[in-house]
Amino acid sequence: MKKAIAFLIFVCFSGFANAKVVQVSVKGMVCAFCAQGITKKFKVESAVAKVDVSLEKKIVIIDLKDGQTLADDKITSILTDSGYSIEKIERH
Amino acid sequence: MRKFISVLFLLISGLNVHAHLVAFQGAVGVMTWNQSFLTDDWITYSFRPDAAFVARIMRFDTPTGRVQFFAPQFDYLLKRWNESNYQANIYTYGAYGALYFENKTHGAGIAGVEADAESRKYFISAKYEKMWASLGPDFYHIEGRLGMAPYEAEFNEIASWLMLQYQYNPSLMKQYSITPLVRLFYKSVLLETGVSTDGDWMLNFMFHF
Repeated sequence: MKKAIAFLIFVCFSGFANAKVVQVSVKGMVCAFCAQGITKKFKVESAVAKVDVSLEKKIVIIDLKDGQTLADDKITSILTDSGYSIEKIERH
Repeated sequence: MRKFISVLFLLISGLNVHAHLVAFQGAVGVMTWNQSFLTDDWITYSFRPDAAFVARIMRFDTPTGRVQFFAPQFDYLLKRWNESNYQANIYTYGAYGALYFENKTHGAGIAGVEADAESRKYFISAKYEKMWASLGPDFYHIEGRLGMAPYEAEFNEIASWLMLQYQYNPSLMKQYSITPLVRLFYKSVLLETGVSTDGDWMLNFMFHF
């Protein structure tokens, strides 16, 4: 039983760490001119392959490079420095 | 909704706007506003998400002559509301520099407060600015804007806005001005142009990187 729990934890953790796409729900993101800083700031991160912004869905979608991660703290810091508030971070 | 109405009320009852006076941290902005009686050029550096240093050059025509003002300026974001469907901001700024008037240079200070609120569909802004000169004319002006987007542009599309700008400049050659204008922007470039109800042109440009 202990082994099974340890295995489950390992599997969950691996899946989380290797999430390829991070979807961030952002508050206040209504103007494309003002939100340009978001893509600029994420693109300089070495772990980031691609960044998309949807004003309609109010989300930022970050595609990560294989085997790379980007911590929630870093994502929060980039979006706060860009002038926005975070509602939720999801990893797929 | 209540919060949104409160913010709108605050903006309307106060005085208020430009585009954002402070951009994302590390951003450099170039902004120029041009009318026949008033031009204003700014280069901004946002060293924090809520503060920017600015180099400013302003020119305006008064009944007694043309005034030019050169100054370093500090912009500060007093308060921002980030909500799901809108963002609202209140900024303040102050500058002290040189004012050139009637072939003489004097010291002069300027201070202002601006506020804006926008959704993807609606925009409202207001601004109050006052200048104190050691010699030469004091100056203040009030500006307000209402805007509506004919469509809700996505992040990588050209956005367009139809706006109405009201200016009250009691010390200038032109005391009142109402200008319908079009604002267009794509990525980091913003252009505005319009003609006032009495025929004065306006051309504004902003870029940040």
